Amino acid sequence: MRHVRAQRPWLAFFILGLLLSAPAMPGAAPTWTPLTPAEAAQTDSLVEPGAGAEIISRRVSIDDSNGNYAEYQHYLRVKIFNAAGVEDFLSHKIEYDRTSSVTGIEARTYKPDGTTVVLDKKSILDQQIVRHDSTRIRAKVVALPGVEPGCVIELRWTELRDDVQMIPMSFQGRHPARSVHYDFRAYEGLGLESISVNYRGPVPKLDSRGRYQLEMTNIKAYKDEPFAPPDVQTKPWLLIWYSSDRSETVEKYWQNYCRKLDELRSDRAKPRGDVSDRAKTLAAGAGTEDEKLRRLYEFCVTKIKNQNYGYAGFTDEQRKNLKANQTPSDTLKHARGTRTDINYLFIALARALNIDARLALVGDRDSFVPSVKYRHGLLFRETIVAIPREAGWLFLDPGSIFLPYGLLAPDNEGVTAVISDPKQARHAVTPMTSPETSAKHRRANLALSADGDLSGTVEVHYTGLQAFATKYDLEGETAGLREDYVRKEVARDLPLAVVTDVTVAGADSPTEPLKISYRLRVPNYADRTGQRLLFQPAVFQKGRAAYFTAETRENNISFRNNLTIYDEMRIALPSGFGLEEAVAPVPLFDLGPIGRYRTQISVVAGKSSIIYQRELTQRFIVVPPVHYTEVKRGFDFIHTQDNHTLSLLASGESPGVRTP
Amino acid sequence: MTTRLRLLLLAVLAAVAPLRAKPNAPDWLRKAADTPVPAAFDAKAKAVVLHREVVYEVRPDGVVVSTERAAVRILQPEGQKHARAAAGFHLDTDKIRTALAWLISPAGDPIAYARKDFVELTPTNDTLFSDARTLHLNASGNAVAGATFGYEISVESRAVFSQFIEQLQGPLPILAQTIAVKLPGGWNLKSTFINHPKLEPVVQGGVFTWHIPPRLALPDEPFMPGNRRLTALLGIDLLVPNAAAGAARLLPRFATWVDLSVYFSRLNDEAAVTDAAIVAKAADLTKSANTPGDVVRALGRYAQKVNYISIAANLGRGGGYKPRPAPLTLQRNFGDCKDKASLLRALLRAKGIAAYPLSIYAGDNRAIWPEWPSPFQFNHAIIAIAVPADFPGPAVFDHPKFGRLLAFDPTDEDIPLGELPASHYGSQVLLEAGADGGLIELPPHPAEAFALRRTITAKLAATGALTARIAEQHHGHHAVAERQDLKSRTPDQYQKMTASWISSGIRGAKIANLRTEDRFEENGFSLSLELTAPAYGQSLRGKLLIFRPALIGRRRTTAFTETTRTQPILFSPSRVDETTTIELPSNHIVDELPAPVELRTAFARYTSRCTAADGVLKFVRQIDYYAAEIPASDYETVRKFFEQVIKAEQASAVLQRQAPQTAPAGPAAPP
Repeated sequence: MRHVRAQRPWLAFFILGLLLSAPAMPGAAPTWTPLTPAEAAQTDSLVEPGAGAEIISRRVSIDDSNGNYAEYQHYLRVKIFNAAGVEDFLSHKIEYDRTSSVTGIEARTYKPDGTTVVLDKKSILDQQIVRHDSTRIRAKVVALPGVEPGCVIELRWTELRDDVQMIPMSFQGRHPARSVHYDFRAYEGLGLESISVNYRGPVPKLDSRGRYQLEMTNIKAYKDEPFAPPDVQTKPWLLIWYSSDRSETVEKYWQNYCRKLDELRSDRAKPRGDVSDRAKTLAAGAGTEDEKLRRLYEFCVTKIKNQNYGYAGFTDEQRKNLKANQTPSDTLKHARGTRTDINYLFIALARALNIDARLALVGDRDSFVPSVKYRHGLLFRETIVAIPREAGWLFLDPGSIFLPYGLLAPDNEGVTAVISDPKQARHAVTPMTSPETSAKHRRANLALSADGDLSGTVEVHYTGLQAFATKYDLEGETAGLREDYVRKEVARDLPLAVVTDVTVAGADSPTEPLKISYRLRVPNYADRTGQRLLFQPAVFQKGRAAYFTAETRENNISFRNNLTIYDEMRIALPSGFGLEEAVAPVPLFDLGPIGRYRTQISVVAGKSSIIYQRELTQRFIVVPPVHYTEVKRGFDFIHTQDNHTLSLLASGESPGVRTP
Repeated sequence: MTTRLRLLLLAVLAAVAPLRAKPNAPDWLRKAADTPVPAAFDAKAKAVVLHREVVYEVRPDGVVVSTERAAVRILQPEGQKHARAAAGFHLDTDKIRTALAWLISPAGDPIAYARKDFVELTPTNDTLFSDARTLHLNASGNAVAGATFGYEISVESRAVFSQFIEQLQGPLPILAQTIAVKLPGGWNLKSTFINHPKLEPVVQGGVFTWHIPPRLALPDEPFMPGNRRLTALLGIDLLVPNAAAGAARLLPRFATWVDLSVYFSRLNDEAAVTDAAIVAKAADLTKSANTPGDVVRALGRYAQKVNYISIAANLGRGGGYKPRPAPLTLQRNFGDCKDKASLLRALLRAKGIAAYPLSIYAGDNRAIWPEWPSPFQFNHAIIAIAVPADFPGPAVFDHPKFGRLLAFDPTDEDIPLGELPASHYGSQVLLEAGADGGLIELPPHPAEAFALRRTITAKLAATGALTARIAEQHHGHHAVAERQDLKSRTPDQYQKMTASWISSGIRGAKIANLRTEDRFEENGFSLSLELTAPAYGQSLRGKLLIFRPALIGRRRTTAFTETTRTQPILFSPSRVDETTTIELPSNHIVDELPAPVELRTAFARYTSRCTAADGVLKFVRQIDYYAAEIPASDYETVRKFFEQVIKAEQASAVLQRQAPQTAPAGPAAPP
């Protein structure tokens, strides 16, 4: 019997999943529609010329009025233009599992010569995809007959799904579509909530048949582009779910939600005896609240292990058998816990010192970014800590490994956090780390030989979220794999480089800085002509591909994090050579809100070495595609500057380096 | 991949929940766990197979139960990923009798895994439907250095084949290995070792046992011969008494390649039915054909355009070798490689042209082991068509009985009739013509046909700005690759791909007027475009202008970066010819040009030459690869060759301005 279950923690997965999967499901058309003259004559996509196929109509009719299962009737009509289109629509796999079934598969192919080929039902096969323990995933598989360029295919089937709580609707896939239509009949007696992202169709209203109609038309195919936001933020989609109570306003909803979070905080982060004692010990002698918090933070990140990571030393089996921590005291006693456990412990420790540390839930910027515009607290999934400050909030996350004090994980920056409060709806946007805080400093002491080989030592220091990200990559890896990681990183920029004597320091420490050093040798780095050596001082940018090569852009351009990369290359010049007509690249180039690029070349006294310094600062920003040309031009310019060449002339005099 | 599948695979493959409270591992595994690993056995190995045993128990009715046991020691943490078990089987004829695994920690504590912990997967790559299954268990999340992982998997098979093949080598070194076959009374067997010295079995009580010496892991190096030339294998042919219960169910032994030809021919002849629909279709397709060659081309092109769908059913019963009836393939307009070959054969027969199916191993033209006739050696079906004596093309050859034949692959629709996919040339294939069939060799790689000719006409300004027109003529497999690139993309995607390629050599390049022409019948492809780049050359204070004459396609990396090599290096023939002319800015003279380079080796020749006269720079480069197999002992020659090519292609030209003026030292920053 239908009831509103506790909202399953599937929502985020649905949102991700519906956009990861091709929009395979159209709606019901009860009769077959023969090839129309217009379709027969069509030789190219009306929506997106050049496409291999165009979806003429995709319809999904969802009837969830039953109470026991939802019936989906799918319909797809596609015009095929060329071999690529044939390949994409020739065969179909329709998956199902124990909670669903697929029936009534029918298809027709309307060929350009006017004949029609009907799918023989005997050729519909049933295939197991995965079997594990009690889990079975199967698929109905079908190859459509007679498919060729110029044909139209028509395909339909029915799907039954048990006990549907949420109805995702996606509109954009890998092919252009003239019309994508959903009609939905809800289970009566329950309220409906919805989220819509980039939906450009008419506002759905209940029609005379008790159905909601949603449609988008002329939808271009989704394209993967570099530096684009996650597709869940770019594609158009809706999610509808049932709600037992819609009487409260959005404000009231969040007020109640924050109150419940506060009750949770009171219950789960209570500073009992041992926790209270420990807090006082840790804070002894600390003057300010900030100093106390820092001590608590250091304790949590260094003494309490996040049990879900390799550094904690648990095998999968051991991890599964770990007794769950019920209270902060358990976490303290076991000296390990989940991210949430550790954050609760921190709150409890802080509360023991009468610091108003609160429970906060935050979204993930790499997925759908939740908003307090919707009455769905389940979208906020990750637990962090919020402490009120005069000018806002201090957000902390000691449960995440490798995060310096005061920083949040990159995907938790710049998103809304919902904060526990007994009386009010509290929310705030989490701050972004400044670019200067998350930096990669690379210093090299190199020597260029007369043959053009470059060799020397390199030291890379990582701070802030650069350190966090790199430590995360190295976490749990052996020394050998860490060395391989470093070699691969270098090889991306310098494919012929030989990297030896790799050392990695601080990778396992939550608080120590991360430093990687190695010896580098790049044979034939410089181009040796008859009397010159030509080389690029931007060693780690040489030969790198341009950020943007396409002339046009469909999606927003997104630079996802604030960061700075500093390079300082000290290059000893070979004896018998001197700088010739040396010019420095443009020293400063402003990328506007995106960032800044600076370079400087100086000659060491005696002209035996040059020092090349480069700084690229990049900020988190989402730029609409209408500005793509300017963005591309800016990065093309940087690319040119990075390939700036210096000339060394054999036994020549060097007039020094001049800036243009 | 759908959400459900993705989530399930993540959950399952990440870790497996074992049985509770099953403390004991079997004795054979415990004994293996106590085995020390000789220090010098394979110093690089992160894990090693301590012990592997495979027993084939053959019953009188021909049912074969195979049981594999293996014990793997994890030597280093990087070896954790080898704590896994896998087995393949066919759903139509096979059953998993046993699937168990254990992980013994360095301290001796075992974790046990049962059947329910294994995941059963169906291959989904290019196959719509398949009876093939694989059983997997991944215990890597629990494995630590010093642990011993072991498994026992037993499969009962009612497959119709009286042959099986056992792989004796894999990604890990193997310390000890035993293969045993238990036969019913009156049965016998023939063994064939492949890529391994012949070993005699110990025979006792109807049990044949081979003790295999330690094997090192299979190497993995770039451009090395395919694994089929390296992997040690043992082929077993069951010699079934005629009166045995299994004799009726099992296929007869293939003692010779002719036997196999007879078997396949029967299957093919049953499928290549020429009914009224086939006759009508053949007539319709060839109504404009004036010569037998035209007929072959028209029907061959049609067969190529039949859609490819692989439905691999009844594999244990030989379904993988039986084409579907040609009329069915015609009606459905789809089929797999053997269906398409069979359809083409029927269409040709309707026009009175003989054709013979060919079985081939696609992907490696040195993959066949002539000493072991077996259907298992082939993974693809093509066709040999009787053609007139003057029929052109490198895929044409002479057969002592059937005369002039053309080898043709109707599955690959990007290669015109007369040519073959690159890896087919020189292959040993099975010609299926009843008692007149057998193993033959296809023609070798043609030396001249795979070429790219590129002409670039450019103009360089004093600021370093470049404008250019590029024209390419591709032939042979260069043309095939371009054709495939174009077909698989929308025009917009193709434009972007081309722009990206050009930009990789010419910074900031903007392309225009991209045009292509596909000359399929002659296997040619042309491409032309124009480009502008504001800052290709770099000006040094207005006095010098530096640029690279090799505008595009500059090699900057090589696959041969390791300093040592154990396996030969294989090269396929190919040629690239490029001529670039660059009009130089006025008032500039050439100060330095890249030195000419000529490199000659047994596998390739590279030349580049840069000259300048009358204000025009001309850069000509050519690289020719020959079909060659270079021994590992000559690896340094290969490394040096590519290092020198990279150096040559990165070389710069330097121009000097004759009348120095105040000029911008480089491009201005954009607004």
